[in-house]
Amino acid sequence: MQSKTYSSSKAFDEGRRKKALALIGRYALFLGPALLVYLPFLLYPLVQTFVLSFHEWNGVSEAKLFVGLDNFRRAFDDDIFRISITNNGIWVVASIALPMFFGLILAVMLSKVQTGQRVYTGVFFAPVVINLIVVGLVWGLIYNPLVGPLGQFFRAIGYPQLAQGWLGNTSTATPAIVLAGNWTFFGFCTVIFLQGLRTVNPEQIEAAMMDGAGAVQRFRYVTVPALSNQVTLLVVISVIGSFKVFDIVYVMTKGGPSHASEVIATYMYWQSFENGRQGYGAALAVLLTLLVAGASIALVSLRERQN
Amino acid sequence: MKRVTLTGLVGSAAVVCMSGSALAQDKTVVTVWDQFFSDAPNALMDSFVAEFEAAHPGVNIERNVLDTDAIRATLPTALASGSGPDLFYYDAGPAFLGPLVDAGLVADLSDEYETLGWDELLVDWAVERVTFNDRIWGVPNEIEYTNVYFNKNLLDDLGLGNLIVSAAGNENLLTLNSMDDFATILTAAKDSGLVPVSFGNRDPGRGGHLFSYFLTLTAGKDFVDNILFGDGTWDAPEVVAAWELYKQYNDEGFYTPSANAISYDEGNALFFNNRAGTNITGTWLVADVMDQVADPESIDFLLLPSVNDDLPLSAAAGIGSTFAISESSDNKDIALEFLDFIMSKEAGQRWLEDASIVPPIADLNSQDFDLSPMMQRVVMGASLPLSYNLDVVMPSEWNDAMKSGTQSLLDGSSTAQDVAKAQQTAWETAKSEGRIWKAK
Repeated sequence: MQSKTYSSSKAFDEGRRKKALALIGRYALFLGPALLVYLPFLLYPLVQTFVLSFHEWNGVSEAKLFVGLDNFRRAFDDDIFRISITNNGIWVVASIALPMFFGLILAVMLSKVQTGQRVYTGVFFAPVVINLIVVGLVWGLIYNPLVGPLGQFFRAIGYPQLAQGWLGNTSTATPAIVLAGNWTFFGFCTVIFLQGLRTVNPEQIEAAMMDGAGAVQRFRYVTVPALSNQVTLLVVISVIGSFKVFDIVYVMTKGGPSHASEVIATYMYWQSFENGRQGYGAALAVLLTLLVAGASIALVSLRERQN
Repeated sequence: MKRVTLTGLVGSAAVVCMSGSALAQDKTVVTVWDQFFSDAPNALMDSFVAEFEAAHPGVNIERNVLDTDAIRATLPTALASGSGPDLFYYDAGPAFLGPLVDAGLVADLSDEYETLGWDELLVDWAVERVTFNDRIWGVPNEIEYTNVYFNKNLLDDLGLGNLIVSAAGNENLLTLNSMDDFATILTAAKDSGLVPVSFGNRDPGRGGHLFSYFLTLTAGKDFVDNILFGDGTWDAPEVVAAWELYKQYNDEGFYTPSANAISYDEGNALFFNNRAGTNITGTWLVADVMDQVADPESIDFLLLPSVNDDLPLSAAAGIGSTFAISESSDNKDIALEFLDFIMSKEAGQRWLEDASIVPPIADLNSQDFDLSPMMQRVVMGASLPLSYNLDVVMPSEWNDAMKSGTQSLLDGSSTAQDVAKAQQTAWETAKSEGRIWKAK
């Protein structure tokens, strides 16, 4: 009897072991391919960047000098880093305010269109699929003071003083690039809001009308709250995109003139690859990652708390 | 039958491929990364490669032609990872070749200078630009210096052709009697609706050339030497005066409007298309002038007179880039042999005549070569007591302060004193970290 119990317990353990192995095998099967890419190409560089941020290294020498938190301290004393953060802030505010505002208005207008709605939506969405490098080149041409259509337009309407090099002035370079960058985003906002508007309950609108709410009040108190999920999504995308922005700035001004349009990513690139301070560049990358992660977590938590 | 045929075909192909591969493996492959992307220098390099390979059947030279930005972005990493070229053509100076030398990635060529006779062949100041800590790490290939191109016809139309005079002691070089004469020309050009100086400073390296030139005119080489190797400072009144001159030209409307938003090429195009009276740039543009101006005979260049009468006629000069050999190259001997082949006196003549590049060969006599009048002048100017084109001898922080200054002065967001102070701060930082050029 005892031996039978023992053998059945052994068989039970064996079964559990096999089950566990099968489970691990299944996990490995599903996670393996992703980890094969994730570990060497994302996690390893991420850890390496973090480690490098505590060193001074010119990118070619064998020796990396450990400097502790010096690179981070230096960032907080660095005027150009402050300009970069400010510019990223401008990108955040502008990319939330401009494309979302115009995208919402366009979405509301499009939702009333009965025929050709898809065509209009497609036209508005088109800039989204254009590579930002191309957008930067095209808008660079538009702003060009010698041959650009913007300058020609201002000259034609009698305002030659406005036919200036918008990208070559320290006070106008960032707004000019922000405008070009956000031109690509409003179509995306339009499509997302349009989809959200389809989920607004018409009965709530009717009820509000019966209660005497005007068009603006209905929009403010019924439509906008119903779009809160879309707003959260777009704000998170805007914030992350605005902190990560690099390509369009690099193509249009390389962060100039005099670092006036620098953002963290372009400044990080400049420090790492043009100024030969890879450790400091890595520290800026870590700060950028913390900023993006912090902002994303804060936004999502705020949204969940509101819900 | 079909299967047999297919098998046979695959087999034959494999044999052919293997034999081809075996042939390639028999050859020693020497990789060369250079920046000769313009038509004439590129063609000349190709012909050098073809001739060398013909004379060395066991050698295959693989060229990779990159522009300046691309080679700056890739070469250091490639060399550090051991996948770099055997021979490369890269910017000299402490911001570029310097870190590679410090990292032990570049072969020391000091002994080869003696054995191959380069110490006799090349001019001293050019060799000094590739010397760090008393050792020689590269072979300079090009003397270039700043100058002012002008359109003779436009100047005659303005009635100012008589202001251009021959330089004292060298009647084949053109200059002006004073900087006031230059201002007269620029004012007349402006009044006639032309852009007085075509200037595109979106890439502020161009403004850096102007600053180097203006500092040469206001303070001279000895002054710069005293900062580089002595106890002079970048916030000295002479430096401020050079920046003031740079700014004054902007305030008087001599530069292309919105110069910070215009690229170097766009600025040059204004001059090539007769929309600008002058173009302050350098001898590196001679080939483009010849190619792109409809009537190249109408273009000539002059050297600006010094602001200070005690200073000689001069210009800001550099060596462009330098050839260097990777320390980890398995083919150093062949790379050296190829380098010696393209740096001989005979090859120098071809650089000059075929590619409009002035090699830093001592005792070049322009009369010995088949050159355009403008190239004759370039060769003659190379023997003047030239100063520094500063960006290639300075550390990156200092270059950034200078380049930022060239842009912020144009839109009024800084003053000449601010820029000079920023240069001095950057210089002190680089000096304290040992990031400055020490030839000796």
